[in-house]
Amino acid sequence: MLTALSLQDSKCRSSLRVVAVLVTAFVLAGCTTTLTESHTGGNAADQSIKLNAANARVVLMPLDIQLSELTAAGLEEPKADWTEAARSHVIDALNAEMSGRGLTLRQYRKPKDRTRQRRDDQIEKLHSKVGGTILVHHYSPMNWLPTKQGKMDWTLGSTARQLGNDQNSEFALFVFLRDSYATGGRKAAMVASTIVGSLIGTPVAKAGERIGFASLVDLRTGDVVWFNVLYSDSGDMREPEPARAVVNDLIAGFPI
Amino acid sequence: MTRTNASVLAAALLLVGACTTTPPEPIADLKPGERPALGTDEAGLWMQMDRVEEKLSTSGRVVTDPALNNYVRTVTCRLSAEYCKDLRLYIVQTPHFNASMAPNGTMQVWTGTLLRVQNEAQLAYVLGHEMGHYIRRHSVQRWRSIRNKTDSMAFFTVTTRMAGLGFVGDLADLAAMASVMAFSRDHERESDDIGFDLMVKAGYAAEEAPKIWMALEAERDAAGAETPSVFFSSHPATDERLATLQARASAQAGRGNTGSKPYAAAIRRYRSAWLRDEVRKRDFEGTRIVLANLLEAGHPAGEIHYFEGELYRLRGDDGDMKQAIGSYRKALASKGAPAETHRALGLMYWKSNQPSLARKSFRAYLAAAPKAEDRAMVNSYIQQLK
Amino acid sequence: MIRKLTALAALLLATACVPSVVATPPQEPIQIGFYSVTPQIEWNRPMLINGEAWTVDGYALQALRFLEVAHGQTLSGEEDPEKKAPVFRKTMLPNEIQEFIVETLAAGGWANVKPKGLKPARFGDLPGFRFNFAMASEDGLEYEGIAYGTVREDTLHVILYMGTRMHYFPKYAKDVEKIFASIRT
Repeated sequence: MLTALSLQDSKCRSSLRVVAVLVTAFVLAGCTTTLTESHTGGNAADQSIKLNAANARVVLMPLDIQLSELTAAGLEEPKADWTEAARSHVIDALNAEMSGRGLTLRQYRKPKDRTRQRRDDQIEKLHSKVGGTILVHHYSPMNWLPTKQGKMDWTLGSTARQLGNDQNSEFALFVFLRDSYATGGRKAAMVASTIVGSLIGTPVAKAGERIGFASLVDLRTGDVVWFNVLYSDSGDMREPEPARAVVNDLIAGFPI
Repeated sequence: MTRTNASVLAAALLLVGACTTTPPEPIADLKPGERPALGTDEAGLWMQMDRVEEKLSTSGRVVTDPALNNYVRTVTCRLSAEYCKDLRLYIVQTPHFNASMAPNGTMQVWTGTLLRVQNEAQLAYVLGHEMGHYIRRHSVQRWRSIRNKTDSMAFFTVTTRMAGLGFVGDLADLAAMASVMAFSRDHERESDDIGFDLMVKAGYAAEEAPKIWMALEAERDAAGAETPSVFFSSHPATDERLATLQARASAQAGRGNTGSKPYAAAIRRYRSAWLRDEVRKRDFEGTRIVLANLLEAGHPAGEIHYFEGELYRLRGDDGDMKQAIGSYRKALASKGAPAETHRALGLMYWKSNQPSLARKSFRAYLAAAPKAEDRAMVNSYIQQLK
Repeated sequence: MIRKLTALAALLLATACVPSVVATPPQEPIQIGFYSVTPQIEWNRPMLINGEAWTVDGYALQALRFLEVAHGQTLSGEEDPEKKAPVFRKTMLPNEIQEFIVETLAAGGWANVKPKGLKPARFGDLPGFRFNFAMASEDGLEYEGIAYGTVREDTLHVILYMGTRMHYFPKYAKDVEKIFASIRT
């Protein structure tokens, strides 16, 4: 009864799961990898977008980040201290990387007014739906939508302009990261829970791996103008230097 | 905790199996205003619950109405002024009896609970019980014992039972979250005691505490095995617990306030929407008990009979149309029948081939609700019936 | 590298479950059961064996579904022997059909489903009904929708258009109105 009315396309979801299983299988085979693939899109899809570092105003939206420990029993135990450390390392690294390229990121200021808070909250929720849609319908060629003709053509719509006005910014950078670390001797159990995870259909970061995406939205139009997916089984975001390496990969291809 | 995490957790636990038994370490009460130190497992649980809370707070299911929130909050603070500062209340629009407490002080009270408790004293007992879980830090104790695999099988059972109840969407998340909050019998006994002590200390009638239990058991028995209660899945009921509560209550009986009037006044504006959600559950026998209890508690007979009619109309078995008409007419003869009663009666008359009565009812509906959203449609019914 | 992996995944799936998807020609009528509609714009239309579900930007953002529900079935066209899910009955009047759709959405995990403005509407040559609704997804993102339908030979035919309140619903709401007007029976 639900499948027919759920807006999520179950078939597309199942294909994402296959990708997740394949990626995990690859990791279990023992290779060290970092995979990223960035795309540009929006109305500027034909001409590649390029920010002018000297005067582009980019607001960094609140990070969606969580670090967990996988216990021997296979439980994912979220770690508040790790997450807080990683959050500050990632923010520092983003700021450092961007200023290395001549760009100063603006910090998001939460509006005091409830209506505006609610609006920003809806924009963030829409962004995560759009991000998921881009992963399904753009990054997986078998789910391409014919009318898109292979272009990354998604937007948050005109409400984004209000966010831009409030934050005094032309662009917004959204970052999503999940990371987990294993305690000793978990590999066998990992295989089992990977299969379970893939059946349930939500990508869950496995031992010592990080998954994430970053996207740049043009707040004047709402268009997603740049998007990057990260998968990596090396780099430790609990420490400043490796966190910087993860951030480097995450913003590889950032149009500046 | 999301549904996925809970299921992965459960599945992982199943794979690992449960064998060893390490007794959990004793743990001190959480003091008012206390937060766990970063780097502890408890801080990790809090962080995860902070994230769940962030989602919950913007979910479309949370009732944001300030008057209702203030009321439930006031009762909470009456139980403990110190701890009430550490608790954040979320009234969640879900037609089942449940309340839950997360380790970080996120307290959920479902609207199905507010529809079922009959007075402020019963509500105070439920809230006090949940506060007990917070004060005694049952979540972190539970988490440690799951991690030590002491009772992982019990945990697994609760989680799968939850899934078996047919919950979907965020309801499943909420239920899964509640199931993570499912505590051992010892924890429940502790919370029973704390809840009872808090309500009595705040001046509420002790004898009301066991009544809510008994009403829930009656509803569960009427509903039959196909519709197990969410509440009992996460709060194991035992005769022993009820007996203890009854013994304690009778020793204190006749001293406190029931708070029936303020409670009835507090829920007056929401009752009808909650009843709408209730009849949608299609749990005919269970809902009939809820309606009977509301009638007994003195809520307007017109409204209660209207929803009784809705229950028959939605079931639609042989003879239910006649029963529905009977209930609607009873509603219109009593105080507090909503305008929709006329419309529902019109639909039933039309279907049972009584066009002139149907037309009369539809006219009465438009007269009672001149700004009705579906005015155009009902006008077209009247045209067709000419 | 992801390309390689997704290509591999594509191979695995090509033989399995993914339907081929075509773009609808905007002005060519498409037969859906007993009636036809003119798409107005290019929609992505998976060639499903059962039912029609179109989208432009992805199903999580907006969807146009054409549903056919026989007497005794749920909205997705299934039987419900448990009698727990709302089912369609041939004797239902428009108010009850609206209630049936709202209840199905609520049972499907949508929060705060609120219908408004039920009124009569022509479904091609047949008398029908329409109403709007608002709701929120599991995680609180707001959506809007329109239902447009009729009952013919004991079967409910209903077109549901829904999408995010921000941008994706309004984006094609006018085109969807033209689709409703293009129904030929």
